[in-house]
Amino acid sequence: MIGVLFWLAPILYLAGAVAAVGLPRGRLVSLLSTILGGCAAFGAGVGVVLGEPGPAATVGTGLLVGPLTIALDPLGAFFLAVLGLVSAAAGLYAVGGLAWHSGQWAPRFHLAVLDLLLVSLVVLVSASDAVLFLIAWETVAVLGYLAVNLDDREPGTAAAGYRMLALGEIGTVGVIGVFLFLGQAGNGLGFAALRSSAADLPPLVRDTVFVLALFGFGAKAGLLPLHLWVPGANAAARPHVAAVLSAVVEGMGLYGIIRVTVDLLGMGPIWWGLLALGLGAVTAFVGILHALVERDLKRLLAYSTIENDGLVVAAVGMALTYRAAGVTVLAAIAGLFALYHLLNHAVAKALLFLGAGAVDAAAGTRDLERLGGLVRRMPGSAALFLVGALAIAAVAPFAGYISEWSILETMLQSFALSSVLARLVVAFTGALLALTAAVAVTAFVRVYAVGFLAQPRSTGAARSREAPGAARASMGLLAVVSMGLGILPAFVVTALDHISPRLWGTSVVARVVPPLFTDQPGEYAPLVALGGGVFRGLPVNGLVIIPAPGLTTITSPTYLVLGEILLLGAALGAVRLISGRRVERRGPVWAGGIPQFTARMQYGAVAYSNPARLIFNGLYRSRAALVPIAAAARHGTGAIAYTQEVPPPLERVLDRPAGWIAREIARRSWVFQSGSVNQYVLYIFAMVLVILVLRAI
Amino acid sequence: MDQSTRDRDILPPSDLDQLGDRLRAAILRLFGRSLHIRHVDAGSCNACESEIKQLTSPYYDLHRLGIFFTTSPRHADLLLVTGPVTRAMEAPLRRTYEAMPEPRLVVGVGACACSGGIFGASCLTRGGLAHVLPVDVLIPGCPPTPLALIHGLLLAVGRVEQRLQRGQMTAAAAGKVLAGAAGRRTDLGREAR
Amino acid sequence: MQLSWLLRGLRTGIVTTRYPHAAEALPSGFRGRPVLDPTRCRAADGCTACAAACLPGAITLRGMADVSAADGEAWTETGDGTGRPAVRLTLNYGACIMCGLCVTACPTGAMAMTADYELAVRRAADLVYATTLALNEG
Repeated sequence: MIGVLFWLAPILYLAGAVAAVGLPRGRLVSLLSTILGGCAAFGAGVGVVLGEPGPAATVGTGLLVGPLTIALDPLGAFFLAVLGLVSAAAGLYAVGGLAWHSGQWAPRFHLAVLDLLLVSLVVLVSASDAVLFLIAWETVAVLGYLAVNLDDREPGTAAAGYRMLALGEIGTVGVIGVFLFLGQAGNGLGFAALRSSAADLPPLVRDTVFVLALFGFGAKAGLLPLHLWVPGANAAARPHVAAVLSAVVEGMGLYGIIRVTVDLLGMGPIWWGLLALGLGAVTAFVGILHALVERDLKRLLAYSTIENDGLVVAAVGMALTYRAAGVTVLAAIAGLFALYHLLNHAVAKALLFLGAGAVDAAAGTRDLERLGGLVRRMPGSAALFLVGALAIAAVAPFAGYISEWSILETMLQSFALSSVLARLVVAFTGALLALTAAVAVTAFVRVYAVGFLAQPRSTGAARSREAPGAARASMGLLAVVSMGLGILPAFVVTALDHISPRLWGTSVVARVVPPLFTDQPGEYAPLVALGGGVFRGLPVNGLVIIPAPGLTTITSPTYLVLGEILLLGAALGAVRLISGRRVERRGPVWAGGIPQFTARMQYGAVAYSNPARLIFNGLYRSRAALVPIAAAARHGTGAIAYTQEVPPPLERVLDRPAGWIAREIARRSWVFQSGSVNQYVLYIFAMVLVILVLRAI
Repeated sequence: MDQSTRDRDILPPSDLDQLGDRLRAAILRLFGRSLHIRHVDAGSCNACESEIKQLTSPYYDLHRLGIFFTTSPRHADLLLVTGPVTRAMEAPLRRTYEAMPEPRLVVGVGACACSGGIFGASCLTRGGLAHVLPVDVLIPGCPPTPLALIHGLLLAVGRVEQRLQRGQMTAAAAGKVLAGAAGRRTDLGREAR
Repeated sequence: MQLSWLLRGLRTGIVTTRYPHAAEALPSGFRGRPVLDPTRCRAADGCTACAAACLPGAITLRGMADVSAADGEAWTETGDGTGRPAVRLTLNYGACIMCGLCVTACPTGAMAMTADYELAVRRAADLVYATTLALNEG
């Protein structure tokens, strides 16, 4: 059954690609096929995660590289489930969104490219040998570039796609290096062989593999320093493509990091974890700082993706640190919540990108300074966007809360480490991540308040209408899933725990979800006395989450929601009883007695984030200026313009030198590309000589 | 300048007067211990504001009487208005009054609020607060001294008695401690002629 | 710095006035409202000094023939009711700016400045002082 679903997914995606290009009215058929393929992928992924045996297949090639194997294990199945869910939602959105998004773009080829991208993603997560992995990786890179770039309606789209491809390829160099070094043992390139032989590699090789994996896969995930492609590519892509890009394709970078550093490499020194922790924390902080001052809605969401990917990598680094120190339980807990956060982020970010697409199509602009008042004009989309925003901002009881809070809690357990250096690094990065969480809340309050509430700041926003039903349905689906992930964490943890033994060697569900529903709660008996035993009979241990050993910290979004409902209901009832028949008089909002509200009297996006920009200007290196644009008449007023420019992070440090170096290398290697056939024959002759000499040695 | 008081234009007294004495006493008891005032300058020359400002100085110390100034009309019990109510400030003044939750009191300060003062009613002024809002207490003076303001505010919440009846001072009521120097004459000395 | 203010405050003691619970010592030139002594007023003989001097026009003089029936409620009769022609003098404390020019202008000293400052009223009508002064024949 699982196997059927698994093979059905890429077949349905391929069918969708064919239908888009081949059939005369193929768009709808293609999208339905995509949606069904997504459902199949989701089903297969969930099934394998929950313990069903994964499908496997081997294709022998006669080449040196060995056979190409596909074997879906729980880790890959997790990513497959995410892929399936997001692709189904994206397809459903496109059903409603196609007629709605104006502009000249080639939807048929676009849909075909997207479907082929999904196929290659399925292969990527289920690949079980290095060659197939690399083939799928490159295919994803190229198809991702095409998916972003296929319609260059906006200026800058082509550059954004190109930059994505270029930086991705730099990362791919690292990825290829990873597998080259891992395969040195000579047992073949299948993952099983690599895993078993990795422990015998010399430490220098293992360290090199780790660093290459962190930065090579990190380029795809949007980690520093190869992050500059993320904002542009996500802004340029169509909303459903951006959802897939942000949630899944960048997740592939995280998949690579986890697969190589946790699974294949095995136990390593403690500095691996600290390096990943530091890199992730700094990435998260830089990402969210730039989200805070960004005006373009989709670029802002892209920076938030950078932040969350950094957070996941930091959590993985924390887990690696604990593993190296021997505290396997905490390592497994941190690793579990890293995956949980990845899942939460994927669902919420896909929801937000689809919502941003709805806003863009309705209001005609993505600029926060020109939006506003949308909550009354598109109430359904606004409410669903709010669910996503609260989840990303990690507000209890929405999705992001439980995972982000638990990650910080595991970092607070750093007293279990014996190395002072490790504790210092963890303390510093923990503080940095806490600051990141606070800035994230600010950033998304700004997005929602400025973008959706109050009054519209442009005619486009004033004329916006509600999104079509299919678009809202897709967002609603993701919102329901996101709320479920937030309110029912015990179930999610129980499900994700099937992956833990494979990765970390131990199962932690008994610790993280204490068995309050059983008859032997052990040390958690006080929680049962407090009411934690309500709802016995559910297929989980309990409804409380404890992300650390013992009773040090406790949370339960489930009980929190129930408590909120009860308390709210009681409060409302009390108010009803007490106030009785009090007469109500309604009046306008008090604003100082001014005669008229205009939209210009509101806080804008730039104004709201200006204090933060000033505080962190050392990091932003922003420039703001008041420029006179019309001279003042004798007794009148002229016109001045306020411009503020925040360059992308590390652009001056990385982008320009890298570009300069690349151009210099290209210029100087011109001598080798003279175009003369004689010179090229000389090269071939020289290479033959070299091979002969090497054979002789 | 000859000026007549246009009784016909004046709005009826505030709703407080129409309630029964018991209810009125109950409401004033609420305000008697803690009164929050929102002041609006409806075109005044700011002499009244200078006197009002002195109310929070250590010498007069309005807070010892349980009276405070607040900025938001939503938090205010009493609206204190200075100025003759210029046309420009009429609408904001009304909006301030509308923003106040009930029960609410309105007090006009100074000659301008009582009758338009030296501006009177013109194309730019309404000629007194009573033409715009239902007034509870008027405090004459140009400007009224802070002592007169204290008397007027306490009169609004019923903690003191009104002294002036039809233009003539009545004796201080027994039991209500007041310190008005009724009857004392002031020698204006060699004033300019 | 806070300590020196504390010491200064302790040395100075309480400066707050005890009004309305105790009398307030007023300075010597304190102006309250002007009052009219009708027995010394010669408006009945045609004197209009105070009304002419009044800046905001708070003092008005009218012949009784001008008084219309509708104004009756606000006016007080202080004449002897014998039906002789009279002058109605009104002083609206709501318009009075306490400048004292009426006091200075009055030839007989009928107008005098007092130190009354508790003038707040609930009704505007209570701010108006009116008296009728009978014209003397001959």
